[in-house]
Amino acid sequence: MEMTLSELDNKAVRIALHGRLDTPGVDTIETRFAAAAARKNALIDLSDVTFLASMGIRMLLSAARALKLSGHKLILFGAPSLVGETLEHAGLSQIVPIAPDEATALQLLGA
Amino acid sequence: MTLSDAAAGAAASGLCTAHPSGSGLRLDVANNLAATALVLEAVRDHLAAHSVGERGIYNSELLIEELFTNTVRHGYNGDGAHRISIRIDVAADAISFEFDDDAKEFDPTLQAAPPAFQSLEDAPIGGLGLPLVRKMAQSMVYRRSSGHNLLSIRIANN
Repeated sequence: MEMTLSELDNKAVRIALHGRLDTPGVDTIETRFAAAAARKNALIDLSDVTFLASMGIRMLLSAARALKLSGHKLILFGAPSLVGETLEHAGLSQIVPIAPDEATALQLLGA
Repeated sequence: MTLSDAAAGAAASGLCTAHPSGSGLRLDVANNLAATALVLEAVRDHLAAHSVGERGIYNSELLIEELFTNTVRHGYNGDGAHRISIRIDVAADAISFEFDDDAKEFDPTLQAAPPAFQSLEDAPIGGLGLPLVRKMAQSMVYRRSSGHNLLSIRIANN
């Protein structure tokens, strides 16, 4: 599990996740991810995530909640179809914005 | 192979041993989260060798990840060395799983489905795994016998 951080501007950061968001994957990345998804709006690029289990959802949910408490947004985008199904099954779309692509995610950020 | 490689290999095989027979596979796994990746790899290889498609493999991995890690974390809670048996059988239309462990009694079919999320602030951060399993399961049967949890689950092979 890896992550790539890009500063979009002084209000938002894009975090691309690569690999499997399962128990071992989350273990390797959780601390860095929590530090990166803080203090600014965060767009999370899931296009290179090949597997998502509940530990991964928990990591995304924790960051989304922490950001909301500081007045920021976390937006997920680009999930491959099976990863998107897991997000849907977990009911995450009711509380975290999920966009098909980065352009839509940026629009949601402005909204 | 160095000595330390050999030691690592021996330790790894103790974490998870695979017993394939035809369309079936039985895994004998230690109650150790470090075995998770080995279990999933063995499952992936077996299902791919039996022409299971991408969704069937993904859902099988998800189901096993959730149930195995739940049992290790909450069923045993670090209490000594135990073995968990996982059987997988591939049929044309379904993939079946049987979990057998001697962890504390836990019937996942009795867990109420969690209410839908209302808001980010109120969303429960844990307990997300079993609902995912229930969403995928076509059937889920639990019984407790001779101090063992026996759980049979079937999902679609598609």
